[in-house]
Amino acid sequence: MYHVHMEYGPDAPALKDITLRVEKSEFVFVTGPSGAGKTSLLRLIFLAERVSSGQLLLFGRNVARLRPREVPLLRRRIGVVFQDFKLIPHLTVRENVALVFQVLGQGVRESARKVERALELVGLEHRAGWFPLKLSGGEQQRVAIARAIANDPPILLADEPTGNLDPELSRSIYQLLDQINARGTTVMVATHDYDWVRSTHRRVICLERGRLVSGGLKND
Amino acid sequence: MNRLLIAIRRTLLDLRRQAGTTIITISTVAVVFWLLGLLGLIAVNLERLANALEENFRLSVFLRDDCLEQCRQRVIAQAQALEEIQAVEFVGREQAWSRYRAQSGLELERLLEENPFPDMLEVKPQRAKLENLQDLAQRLGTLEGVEEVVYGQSWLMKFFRLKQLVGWLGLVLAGVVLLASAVIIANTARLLALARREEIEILKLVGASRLFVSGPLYLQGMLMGLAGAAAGLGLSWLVFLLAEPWLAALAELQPVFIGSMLAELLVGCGGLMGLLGTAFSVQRYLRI
Repeated sequence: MYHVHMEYGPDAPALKDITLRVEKSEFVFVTGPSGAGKTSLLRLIFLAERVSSGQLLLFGRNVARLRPREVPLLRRRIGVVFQDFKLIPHLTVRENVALVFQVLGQGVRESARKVERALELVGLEHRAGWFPLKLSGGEQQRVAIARAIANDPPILLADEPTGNLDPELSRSIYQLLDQINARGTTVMVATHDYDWVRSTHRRVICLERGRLVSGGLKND
Repeated sequence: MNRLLIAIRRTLLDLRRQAGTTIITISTVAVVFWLLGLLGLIAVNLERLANALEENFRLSVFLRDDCLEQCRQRVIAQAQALEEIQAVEFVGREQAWSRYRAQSGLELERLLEENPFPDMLEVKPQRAKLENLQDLAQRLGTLEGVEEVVYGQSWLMKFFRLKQLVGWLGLVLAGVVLLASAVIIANTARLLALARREEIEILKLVGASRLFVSGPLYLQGMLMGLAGAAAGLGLSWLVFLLAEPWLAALAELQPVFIGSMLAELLVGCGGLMGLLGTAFSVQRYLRI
């Protein structure tokens, strides 16, 4: 990301002159006070927002030059987890995770196998037939993580993944994200949880009022 | 193929989940198509009536008493030379008198001392020229030897005006109905998309293409349009069944329901309006 600016409107800049690089298989935190631009940064990487100026390279491609129909194709290579889980309440856990494969048009058997594998990884294979609202917050977040990683995306973005969870449930999510990173997935987590950040000794990208304060490059 | 099946399954599930809204929409579309079906029914049967009328229509050209054989042949030849005329038949006064007595069933010879009919020609105009009868009658009336031309002009003109009016009304109503059904379905599609806003957002998150997200919405709109139009025409058919004996007695012509091709076309239009209404209302929810 080179000298990236992003704004929601003419007088609403969200990110100013951000230059950073995240290496393959790296685990990085994005921190900063509320309104610092953490979510905007993730939304930009996830292609939910457009760069106003500067250059954002994803998988070696300049996203400014992407045609609209290429956006979903690139998104399939990025898993995303949100604070509010974003699960479809009338679909079971299994069906929520299987959405990823429906979108890809994969066969039922193949997708069922991958869904089971993802649910095993997050320890929820016994909840496959449940509806999300019957699950605890921690379990719902695990389902969201299972959906995000089910297709083995090279990148996983998590925006305040433990924001709605108590410390104990949060710890299980931290461990899960560590496991996923250990498999080679690049993980980028926006969080306010400084205890977690300090305990892991990972790179921290610090934002304040839309500007990068530190951590833009690996050796910063 | 897989994605198509998934889209159909999602569509049907969504329609079932939003059964109340779906039923209300289909019913409303059915009512507007019912009106259109009724008007179509009237137009089709008026057309049939007009065709029967045109087929059997004759102008009666009464000849003067002094128009004898030579004069008669000249009038026939002059009438046949007119391009608006398909056939000319001479009916002698005796033949006309006996034909009239047979038709009326009355013993008219007791009431009338002598045959009141003059010699006459029965003129069959070309069907396409029927609506300019007044002009034709005037021209026949000016032929030498012709006393009077009779063809029931006042009711005939009224009939053709009514037919024309129904035709125009049908076109206008068809436009209004199609627009109304598109608006009704557009509103419902917007509600359905609004209800599915979060799901749409999640689908985009997992990399769904625009077509994957919008497919079920378009299918829903199309199915509602098809079902509404089919139900409306079904209602019209029921009304037709109920009114058929009464209509047959009134018009002395077996009434018919609108043709299957027109019915299929109208149902197809319902589906098309569903698609257009959906396309118009859900764009903002589909932006990638």
